Amino acid sequence: MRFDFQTFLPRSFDGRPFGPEDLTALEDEAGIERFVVMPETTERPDNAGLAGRIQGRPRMIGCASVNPALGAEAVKGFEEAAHRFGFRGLRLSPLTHGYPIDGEVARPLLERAREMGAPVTTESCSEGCWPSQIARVAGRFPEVTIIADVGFRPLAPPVSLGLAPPPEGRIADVAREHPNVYIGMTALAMAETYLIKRIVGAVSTDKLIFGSNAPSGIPLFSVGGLRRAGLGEQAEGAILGETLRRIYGL
Amino acid sequence: MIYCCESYLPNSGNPYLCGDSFEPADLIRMLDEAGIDAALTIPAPEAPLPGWPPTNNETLKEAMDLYPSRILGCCHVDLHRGREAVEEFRRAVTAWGFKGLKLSVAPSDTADALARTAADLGTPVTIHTNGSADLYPRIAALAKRYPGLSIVMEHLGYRYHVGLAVEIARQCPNLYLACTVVAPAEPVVVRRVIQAVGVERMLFGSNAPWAIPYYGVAGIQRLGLGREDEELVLSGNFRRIYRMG
Repeated sequence: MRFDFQTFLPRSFDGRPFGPEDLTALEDEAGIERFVVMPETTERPDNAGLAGRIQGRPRMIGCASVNPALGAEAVKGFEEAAHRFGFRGLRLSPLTHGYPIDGEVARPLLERAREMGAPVTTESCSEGCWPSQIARVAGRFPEVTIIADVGFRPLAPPVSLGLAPPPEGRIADVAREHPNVYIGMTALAMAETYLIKRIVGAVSTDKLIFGSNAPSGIPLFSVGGLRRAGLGEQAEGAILGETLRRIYGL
Repeated sequence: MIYCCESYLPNSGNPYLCGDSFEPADLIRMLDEAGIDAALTIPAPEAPLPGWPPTNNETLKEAMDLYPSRILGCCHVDLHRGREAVEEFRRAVTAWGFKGLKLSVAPSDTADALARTAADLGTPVTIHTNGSADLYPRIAALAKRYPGLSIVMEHLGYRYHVGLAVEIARQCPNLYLACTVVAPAEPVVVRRVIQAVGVERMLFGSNAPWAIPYYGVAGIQRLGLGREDEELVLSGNFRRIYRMG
């Protein structure tokens, strides 16, 4: 089963109205059966609006996105999304919302994710969410599964070259050292296919998770890029869906 | 015609056979698959896997001789070599026909001398952008110091600093943006940047062989920019900036 860890459902995209059918069409084009859907990352992500738009669409798995800067409102929003709407995960955006993921501001949300057994997806490899910061969170919350969206240039290439790590750390090292950290590949898969090979040199393929970032990313390209890495059927199966299926308990 | 403003010539590490040797013919095969006619190509002195020697400007010159209309040289020099690096760049342009320079904006007298030489020679420079936000003021300062120097910002600040790249491009008319990696990863970002700075400031780059050129070209084509604008991004802007006639 192909399972996408990160898609978004904005109300408009690229200057046009955008709906669940449009997102589904993108995923269909790449043969993706199920996909985690998040609300657009705004100051106050609209989880309730997303719930209404994906209701009755079993291929879509809701994931709550919240802004920890809103304090108790953020925690309440996460709880509501999980209990009332049946959302399965939590999305954090430390760079976009401007906070350190390893700071006190995010702690209440991570504690709630631990209590609820909800996987946490986060931006990574940039300000507020450097690999060293992800490592600190993973160490504090070993029971919380963290999917680090590495985007592009995940501070991973030197892993296989034997070079000293940068001060911010390398996400491949973090994933290797923390059983609860997974590398989520979005922009990476089709844009820098060679890095997949290098990451695989540092971590096992069951720590890699496919994501398209649709509709900004094109799922067809992501799947194509990943398949060109030629990792073999078993590794491909794990990356394209099996590992994520296990994380989400589907 | 399709021109790529950013390809590399490593000895190893291509996306299909990572760790195996990589030849100029492999690069040509990847360009062919995407319908790319010519690529500004950079040596890969920092990218080889263990056991493989890095490539340099001489390696690249050999590849240019093999594929004179397909592989266009973009010089890369080690800043630590000081004056020698500047001379090597000058020679690469004047004697070997290189078309560009990959430049670092690290605070360095040599980097400044290279920029000055590039401006004198009328040779565009390309600068990598990604990661840290403090890079952009340095690029803007360089562009203002050498207003006659065309500067191409690879990756247009993607993923998290596209806004900063756009901001300095608006301030400096000699700054251009290359959609390397962004075109396959998030084509819509390319459209947004075009809307912000104008289509004549956008160039196509593939990042081959680290990325797959086919998806880069497909990303641009998928945008449906219209024939004229697509031609500018894939070809026209490159030909104008690099004086391809």
